Amino acid sequence: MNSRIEYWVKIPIGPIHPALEEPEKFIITLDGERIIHVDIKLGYNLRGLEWIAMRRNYIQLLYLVERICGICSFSHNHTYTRAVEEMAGIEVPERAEYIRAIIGELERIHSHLLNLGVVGHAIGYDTVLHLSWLARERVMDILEAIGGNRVNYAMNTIGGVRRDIEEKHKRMILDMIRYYREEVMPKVEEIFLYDPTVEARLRDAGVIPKRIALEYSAQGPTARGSGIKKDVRYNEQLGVYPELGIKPITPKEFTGVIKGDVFDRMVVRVGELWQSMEIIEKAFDQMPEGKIKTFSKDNVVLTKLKRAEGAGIGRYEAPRGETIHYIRANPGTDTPAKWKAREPTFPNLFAVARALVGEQLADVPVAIASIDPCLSCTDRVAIIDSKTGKKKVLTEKDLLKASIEKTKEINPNIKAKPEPVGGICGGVRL
Amino acid sequence: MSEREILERRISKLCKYLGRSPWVFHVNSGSCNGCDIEIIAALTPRYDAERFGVKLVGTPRHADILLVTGPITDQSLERVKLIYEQTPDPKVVVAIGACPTGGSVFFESPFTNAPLDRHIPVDVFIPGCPPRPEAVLYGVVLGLEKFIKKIEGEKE
Amino acid sequence: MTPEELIKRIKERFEVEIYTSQTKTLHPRERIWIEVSRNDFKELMKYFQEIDPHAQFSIIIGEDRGDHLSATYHLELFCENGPSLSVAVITSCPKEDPKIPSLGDVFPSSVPYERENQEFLGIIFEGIPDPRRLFLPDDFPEGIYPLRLDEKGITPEMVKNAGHPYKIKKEGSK
Repeated sequence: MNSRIEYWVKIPIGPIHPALEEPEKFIITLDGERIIHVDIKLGYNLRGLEWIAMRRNYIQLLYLVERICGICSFSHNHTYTRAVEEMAGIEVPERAEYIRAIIGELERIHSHLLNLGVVGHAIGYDTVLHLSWLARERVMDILEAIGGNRVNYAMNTIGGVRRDIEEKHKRMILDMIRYYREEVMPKVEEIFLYDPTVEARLRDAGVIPKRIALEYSAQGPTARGSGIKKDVRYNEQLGVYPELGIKPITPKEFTGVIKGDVFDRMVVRVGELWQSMEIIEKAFDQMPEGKIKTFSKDNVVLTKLKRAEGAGIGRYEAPRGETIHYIRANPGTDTPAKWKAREPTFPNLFAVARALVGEQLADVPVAIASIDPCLSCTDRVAIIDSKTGKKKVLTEKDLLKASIEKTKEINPNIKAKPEPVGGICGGVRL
Repeated sequence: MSEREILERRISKLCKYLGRSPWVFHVNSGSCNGCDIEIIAALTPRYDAERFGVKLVGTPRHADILLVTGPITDQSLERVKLIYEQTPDPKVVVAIGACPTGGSVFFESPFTNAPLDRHIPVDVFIPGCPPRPEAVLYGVVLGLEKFIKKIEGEKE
Repeated sequence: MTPEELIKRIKERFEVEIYTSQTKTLHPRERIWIEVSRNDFKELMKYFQEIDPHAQFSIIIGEDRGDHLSATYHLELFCENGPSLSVAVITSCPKEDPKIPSLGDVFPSSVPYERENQEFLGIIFEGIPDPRRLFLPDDFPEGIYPLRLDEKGITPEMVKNAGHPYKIKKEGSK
């Protein structure tokens, strides 16, 4: 039987001394060039959030929950307020629901542009990274003008939103949408839908068949790219989304072929960019005037919540999939008895780990970047030869080099150099 | 002259003094990635630190400046210390964000070990949640000035 | 299928306690909460898979409720047209005998959540295919379960505090 080499992919923090034994993250067992087993080890981001949450009141939890993730902070904020509102039976005014929808879609636009850049970097197209992150800055300017900060802006409160969208913001947003439609989206489509090198490289890489996506409950663009039509905003009839005409997007509407590989997931993301822009325009047409929050001050909210009882579940579609929060009240006090959250990268990781069996090593960075994992890491791969026990260490540069070599076989004009950019790859936080 | 142009002139003067531009290594000890994205956004064409040659390297053995983010979780503690020892002298450690400064919202937990200067000596703290890319550049400039003082201190 | 039809079908076959909760939004959303004992639990989950083979499993929430431990499972059943059904199933087990049957063969996506609750709360899932630790480091002491509120939880010596700059702290409180 042929020799078995074990690749131990080391995690987050840069180059680790080879003498340090602990393997982390993805432990890939290879046989020649084919992968035969992938195992995941987590826990690098264990900060003890649930333990901390047992000692905070309802308003302090709003700020704690935002800082679970740095890209989808609005999604976690939104889901948490939905859970509390379900538990206590609080009604939200209509204008607040429209504002929540608009800001949620703005966040989806900037998150998808970020991911397009990361996948482009993983196959050697560095220009895509710089250009899409430059295009993303316009959205960040608008979010800063409305919310006060680029990330972690705490727009939601229990019973509404904190700040209003004024006329000047509306003009900025409509201007930005016109700029994206005319200048940015044609370039994005040229690269990710029509370029023959990109299509040849990304087709049949990191395939997740529909059966595995169903068994392991994949979420978000990962599931929709494999042909499963599900979207929390549509299935759950959340807020005002049914009036804005939302539908789950699959690659069938764009290319007509569904295979479940990396190319299909990028097509789904491009489709969602178009859909988000249409939703924002429709929301501006339909938005009524009125109040934006039910209770005027935070202490009023806390006194009302002291008498609440029961449990509530909130769900929302973050840019990566379904987020779900659970909260249970402790009647008589203003601290909840239990809070728990789960973010969408968690099941996606296990689905991709199961689906990578049988692929080549050069596809690993692209497959992991395409599920859009919500954690930053620089990976390192250490090879242990099982016969002699010697260890060798590969860095992210080597993994990137293998990936770029494969692109060069298709199109020799690619001049990219494998340089790490801080690497955004795989992980989960707790 | 705007603030931004003053900053840029300081950076280019410092780089000419050193003879080469500083290389930066980034350590993530369990953060939420907000600060990491702001660091990478500082290299994109809008704020553009790369025109001075500042770049991210893949190994601490080539680095001059260490950027640390995140509240130091239990499983990252030894790694951060090892990386500090692997970086050659003279070096500058910059702690980015509110998490390594004082723990931010995670200040009381069985799994985090903030603040950072209980474990390794820190030169610059940049508060903010997350700090803007311009604040990151400003903090790196302050770190560079300290770096030059360290080199001059050795020559004497 | 509407929520009422589902409730009727379940009540015919199993002895359970069912109640629904509704949100107060523009399109009110009903969630079904089912309380079942741990003996009938696996049969109920297999029945859900018969009703809809594409059912999606979301999360397991384990809680410490004083004298017993409870686990809440959330599922989503899809229908052809119209909104999906959102179901939450609650089982419980006493602290002296913390065993619940595992769902590794019915829903393969539930195994990571069972591993997480095993190490954080001490519930033992019988028949789980992969009982290793998931989040806690390997040198964390055995027998200490971080989310329990009794003597097996985290002791005050293990808590590290970076100091709040302007607050007077009491022991262990915020």
